[in-house]
Amino acid sequence: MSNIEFRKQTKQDYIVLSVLLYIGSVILWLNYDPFRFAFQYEWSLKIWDYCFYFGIDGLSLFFIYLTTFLIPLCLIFNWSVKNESTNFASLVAIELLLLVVFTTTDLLMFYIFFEAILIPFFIFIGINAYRKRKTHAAYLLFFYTIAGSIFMLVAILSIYTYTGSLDLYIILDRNYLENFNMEKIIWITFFLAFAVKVPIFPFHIWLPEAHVEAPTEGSVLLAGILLKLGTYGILRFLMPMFPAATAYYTPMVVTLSTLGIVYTSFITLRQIDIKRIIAYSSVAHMNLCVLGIFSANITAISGSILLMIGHGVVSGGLFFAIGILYNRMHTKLIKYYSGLIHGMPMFAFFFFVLIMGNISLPLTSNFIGEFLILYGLYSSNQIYGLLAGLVGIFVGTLYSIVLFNKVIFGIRENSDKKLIDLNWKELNVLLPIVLHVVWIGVYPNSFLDIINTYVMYNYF
Amino acid sequence: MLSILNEHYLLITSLLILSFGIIYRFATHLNYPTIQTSINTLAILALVSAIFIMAIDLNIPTVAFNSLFVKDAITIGVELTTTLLAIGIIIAAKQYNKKENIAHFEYTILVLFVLLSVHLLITVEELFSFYLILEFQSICLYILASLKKNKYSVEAALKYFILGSFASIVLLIGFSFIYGISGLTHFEDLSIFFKDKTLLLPEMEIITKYAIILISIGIFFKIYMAPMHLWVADIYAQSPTTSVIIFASSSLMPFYVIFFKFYEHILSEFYGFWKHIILLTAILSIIIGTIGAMYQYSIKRLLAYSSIANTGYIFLSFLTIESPLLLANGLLYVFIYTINTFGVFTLLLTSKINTNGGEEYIENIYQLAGLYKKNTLYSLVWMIYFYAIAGLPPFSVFFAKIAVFTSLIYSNTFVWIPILIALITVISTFYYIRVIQIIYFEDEKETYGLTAIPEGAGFILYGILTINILYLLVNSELSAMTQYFILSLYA
Repeated sequence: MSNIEFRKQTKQDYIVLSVLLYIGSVILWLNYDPFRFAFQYEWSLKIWDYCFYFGIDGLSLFFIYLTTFLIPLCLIFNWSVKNESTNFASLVAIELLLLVVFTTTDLLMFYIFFEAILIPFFIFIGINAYRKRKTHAAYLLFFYTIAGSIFMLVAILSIYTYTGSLDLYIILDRNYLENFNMEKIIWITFFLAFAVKVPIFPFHIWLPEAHVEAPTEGSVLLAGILLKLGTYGILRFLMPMFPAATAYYTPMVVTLSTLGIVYTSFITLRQIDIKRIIAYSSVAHMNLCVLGIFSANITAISGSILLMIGHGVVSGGLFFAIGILYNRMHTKLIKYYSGLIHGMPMFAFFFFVLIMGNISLPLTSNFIGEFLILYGLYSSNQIYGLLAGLVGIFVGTLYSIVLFNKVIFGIRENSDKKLIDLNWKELNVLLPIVLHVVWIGVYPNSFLDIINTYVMYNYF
Repeated sequence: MLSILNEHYLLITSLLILSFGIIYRFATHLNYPTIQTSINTLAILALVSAIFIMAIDLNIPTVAFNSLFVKDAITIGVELTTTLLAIGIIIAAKQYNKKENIAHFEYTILVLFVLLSVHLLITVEELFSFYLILEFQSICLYILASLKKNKYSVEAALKYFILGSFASIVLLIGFSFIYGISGLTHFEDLSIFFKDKTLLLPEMEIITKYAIILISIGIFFKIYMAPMHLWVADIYAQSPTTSVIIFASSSLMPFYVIFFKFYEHILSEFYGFWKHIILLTAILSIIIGTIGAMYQYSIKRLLAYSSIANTGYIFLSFLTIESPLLLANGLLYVFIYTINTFGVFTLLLTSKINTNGGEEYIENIYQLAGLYKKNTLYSLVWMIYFYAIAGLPPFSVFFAKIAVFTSLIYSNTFVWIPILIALITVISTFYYIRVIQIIYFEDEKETYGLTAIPEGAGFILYGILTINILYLLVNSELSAMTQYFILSLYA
């Protein structure tokens, strides 16, 4: 009874499922009407007694697209490694849970699936990582998230005692909080949960640990999508539900994220592990997103959403690149890398484009987002935020270029090991990512049309 | 007389099965046959037919024996659940008893007797009958603890016996105080007697308060709330697992109902007094259970401390007693937690490892290391059970927990409790997660290998697993049902 074997074709089944989901999300995007503000594709699923409500709007559309875009790449990257059946199952489980999180319009459902993602992710780190420290990293990931979000649960339940329902329409419609103090307390609990996920400055310790210990696909998911859950939560629930408290707390958030940008940017300069560098740089980028969101400016919020998408693609690509290096050399320390250009020219090209994306060069995806955020910060007179953003971008250029220089150029030491350039599988992983980086950089309007309508309707 | 038919039926059938066992076990011409299997089959048949008999007077509140026993919706609900659990226990325990040489048919008879006593406990409406039935149950449990016949098991039984008798005596003193001031023993009479606190003499009020304290001590001992919890970890660890599964799944459900009858029916005038007792013991149980479990490596000790903490959560819901709909959430927690505990212990009953000598049941959580690499599907079952009893979404205990949270927030009596409990919940997830971490993260030890799950227990495991996963869909149905149960108590 307990020894049921999975069939061998499972691998193909999973990838067909994920590619179908990707095609589905593309069809959703093509059919999406950019001139309608509210939820589109609303549907409800009634099973026995419980009714699930789903809807997609301009915010969730792109996160769905990003999720369904990155998961097939993870599956392809994972094609012929050990533990593949459990790996594939947990990756697709994470994908399905993420799709529920991004489409649900019920606050409790959001919380449940927001937490439930931890279950496959915890297992995923456990079975794939190789060092003893993975336990430490997985515990950090788990307990930071649980400790941050348990108070959100208490706040959600107390909202439920006022409204009697947790549907987003009802919560947004009804003026249920009697006094401003109550709203402020509830805001803090929500913010804590999302701040841990982003992660905003004092809560960021778990992220580099988790990145270093997680396998490549885990890092891609973590940087690409799971961090966006925090900002998604801020945009979807925190700001529309408590506008007054958001305005009240804006200086605090701006201070924290400004500190976060400068602090993590300078920390990145001193890192010796490639994964840690990308991890800290994603903390800096995500803090810039939060700065943009809280600048109360239409351009900056649109830029933030675009930067999230761009950063999801770029950092995902960078983690794939590091994974490719790690599979060949079995180390992630910069010290052991030099002169890869002589053996892996194709890899060097892709890595170059992704690094340019990370320092937000014009024509890459991150540039558009960061430019819009900086423009918005300037026009809403947040000079310190603007300065911090500029410092972050400048230092980001430094560490990215230093990383690229040390890894790709120079003379190849210990050249006894033959370098093998990208194989077909890895090319297929990196090529779509680079195409997306350039696409968003060259023609961002395909994203911004929808995002702008959403932001204008929902926040102003 | 029809009204309490299923108890009659249970008593008669269990005595018949007992006499069948005695006659055939000592039959010299048959060379002393082992009749474990046939006794099990007979008992399961008896229980299944008992369920049908219960279904006859479902939804009909009935009174029997000069209103000594009263049946309403909640008693029927608890009886049905416990009967199903008893069937499950008999099926799950078979393999373990065979392996550990608990090959006496008395085990099955004792299960039937404990079930009978649970059924009587929740229907009885009179103080001294209640005490006698409680003693009947306790003696069955003491025998169950000693069933393994090694020195640890006997030590556990002796410890249980001495401490349990002491607690019963304290409970009896409390009852005699109440009898002393009122001269009454029936719950209905007592509830009329205590209806108005202002009519009582000041001395009587003081004596009633002492009686409340003594009765609380007695009841809290039986369900191991915090200051009376010290015995439980030893007894869980040293008794055979098949007995522990009975201790764990038979105590909470009846005592929740009894506690409700005492404190809400009879002593609701003293709410201002006993709510502090409940608050103190519940918070203390949660804290001690959580902190105690963190240092346990024996899996049964860990579950013992975890049940201390969970009892604390359940009894916190008595602080919301002013509204029956809020209290129903506590009852929901009781049902879900009992079923989950039963599932986890069934998991223990199925987990054997190969040591160099032979097969052995899992005692220490580090024996689970590398389970993932041995048996992927089985490790998934372990994972879901431990995520579930840790109270993480989207499994059943999470919904029960948030129901209790919602009650506490809504009743608004103590604002700081939900926040404190939330903090402790985070800490308490650690020791459940550690089990999962050992299964999935640690490397496999050379000597260990896990053997396959036996058929019957496997069905129970996967059944409860399915309930756990799909619970989300039936949540509102079940909470409506518990509300119906609780409302029947107020009627």
